[in-house]
Amino acid sequence: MFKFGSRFRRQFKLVTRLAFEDYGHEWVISGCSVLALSAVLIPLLVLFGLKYGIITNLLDPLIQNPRYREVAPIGSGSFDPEWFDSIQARPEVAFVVPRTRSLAASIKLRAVDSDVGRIIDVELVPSAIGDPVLAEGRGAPSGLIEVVLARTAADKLEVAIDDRLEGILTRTRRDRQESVRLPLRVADIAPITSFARDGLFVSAQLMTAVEDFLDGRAVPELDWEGTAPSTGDRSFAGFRLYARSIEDVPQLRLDLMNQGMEVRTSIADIALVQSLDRNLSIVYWIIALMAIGGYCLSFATSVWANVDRKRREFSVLRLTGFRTEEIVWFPILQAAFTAAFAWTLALAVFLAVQGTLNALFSSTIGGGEPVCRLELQHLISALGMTLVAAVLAAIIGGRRVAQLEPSIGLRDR
Amino acid sequence: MIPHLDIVRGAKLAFIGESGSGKSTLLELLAMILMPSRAGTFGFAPLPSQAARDVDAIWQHRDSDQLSELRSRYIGYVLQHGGLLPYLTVRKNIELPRVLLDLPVDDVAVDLAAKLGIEQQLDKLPATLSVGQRQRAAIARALAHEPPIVIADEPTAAIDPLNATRIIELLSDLTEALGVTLILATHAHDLVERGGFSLISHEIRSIDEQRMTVTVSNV
Repeated sequence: MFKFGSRFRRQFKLVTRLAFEDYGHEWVISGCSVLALSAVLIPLLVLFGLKYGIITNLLDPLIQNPRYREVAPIGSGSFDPEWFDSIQARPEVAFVVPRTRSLAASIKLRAVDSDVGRIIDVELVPSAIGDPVLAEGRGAPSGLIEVVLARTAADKLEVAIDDRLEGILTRTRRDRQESVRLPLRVADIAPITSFARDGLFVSAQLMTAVEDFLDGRAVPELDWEGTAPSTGDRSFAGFRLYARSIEDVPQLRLDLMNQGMEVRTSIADIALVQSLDRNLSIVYWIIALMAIGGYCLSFATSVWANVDRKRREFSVLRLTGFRTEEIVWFPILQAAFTAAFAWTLALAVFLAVQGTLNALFSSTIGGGEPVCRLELQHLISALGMTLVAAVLAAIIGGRRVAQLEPSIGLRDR
Repeated sequence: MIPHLDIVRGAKLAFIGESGSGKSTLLELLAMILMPSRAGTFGFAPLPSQAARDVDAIWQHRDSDQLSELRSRYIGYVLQHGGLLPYLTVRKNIELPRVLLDLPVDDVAVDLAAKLGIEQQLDKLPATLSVGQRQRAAIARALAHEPPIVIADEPTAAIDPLNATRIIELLSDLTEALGVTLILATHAHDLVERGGFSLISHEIRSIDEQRMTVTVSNV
């Protein structure tokens, strides 16, 4: 039925022109078929836009907030460097850093450069470059000096980036209170959105130094005295672990539970939104398939009737010398015109409806975000699907063009 | 059944008969639209420079592309109801056979329209023309690609006798001037008597619903 020779390329342009002239000549009928198709497309676009908008509004905070990607151990265990190497190597893991025992996870802080004499207790958080909680491309904790301070603590101490801090650690050894001072520098201040408590992000090296000191050991790098310093591979009580995306969390959780540890994740929050998305999608596609199927059926019958009405014109074209494989493009091209025009009209109406819906509802149910929205790729695939559906319907309804004989044009009506 | 029918290049032939008498069947056979059930010899030599094509052999190969190529290049049609495409202007209708054959369009439409007296109608759509003007446009289209043969099936069936005579005369004069073979089917005896046509009478006998025998004899 379809051949693509060089003659065909020449004649195809002619057929396209004739099909378009016919389409324009019968603008009332063409306009009706455009309206009929956009009447199907508009509610589908709006429904999909609402589904996408609402799900995006629910999902976006989960995607943007690293908290939902965290897999945190419950209680304490014992994790050696080999374990950290193996977990780090997994593609689902975006960031992992060892965590010391929770007893050894706080420090007193004082600002050196400011007049505020206040000393506050802050939580020590092990961190490193690439910590998803910290802002990307800015100062990160490293070595024994560079630290990142949480916003609340920075406000209390009235310090800014590059200011110096002094950490104060106190331990009881042989019934005697010992205390050391630790010179620190603020590399960055973590935004309140990523960490809302008084916290200090420090390197793993500094974290272990603090743990060693509190355990009564010596820390030679900082000239702290004590029992023999720890040597060789050490194990850690816990870790801070973030998955690459929220989709990776369930698998990581399952694997860690299979290793015998209990973990805490935000999996339930994510699963809720995901199952909502899935169910809405099912409902949407049932509606869409019924609408598109019904439309295809009615479009195919109207193409059938049109071909029947125009069979004399088609046979005149055959008599003039057009071949069957050129004539069959007539209804197909006209269906494509209808699809393209209907999509354009539907897009215009969708944009208007979208604007109205967003103005009406975004402040109440959208939380300031638009409740109805579509991405460019949605619109392009809508165009693609519309074209495919219309062309398929035209092929079904227009098959009889191929069976038309040139003699019909010669015969009496 | 056509015992023997030679159509000489440049001849003017008329099949006379009432509607339903098999004229259209004959024309369709000659136009290579209808496949004969059996054929002794069916030679087609539209141009003196070319050897005759064996149409029966092409039919046996079911090579409809070659037939449609022969048809579109060498035959022009005037249909009973004009058969103009309603969405093209008269000018574009006339030019269509040339465009299809990739021939230069030039002033062919204007020249033919002037000869047929419809130069005022060139940029109108067929629907706005009178029936007579439409038939003139159809004649122009049939001649546009300079075919050696023109086949006209009852071209004046829907036209008043006065106009009909005038149109047949125009068709006859034009084809004669261009040296074109004209094959005309009509039920109006008086129209062709004066035009110097060779009359072909034929007799039709049905074998069954699909097949029939048409016997042709020269008058």
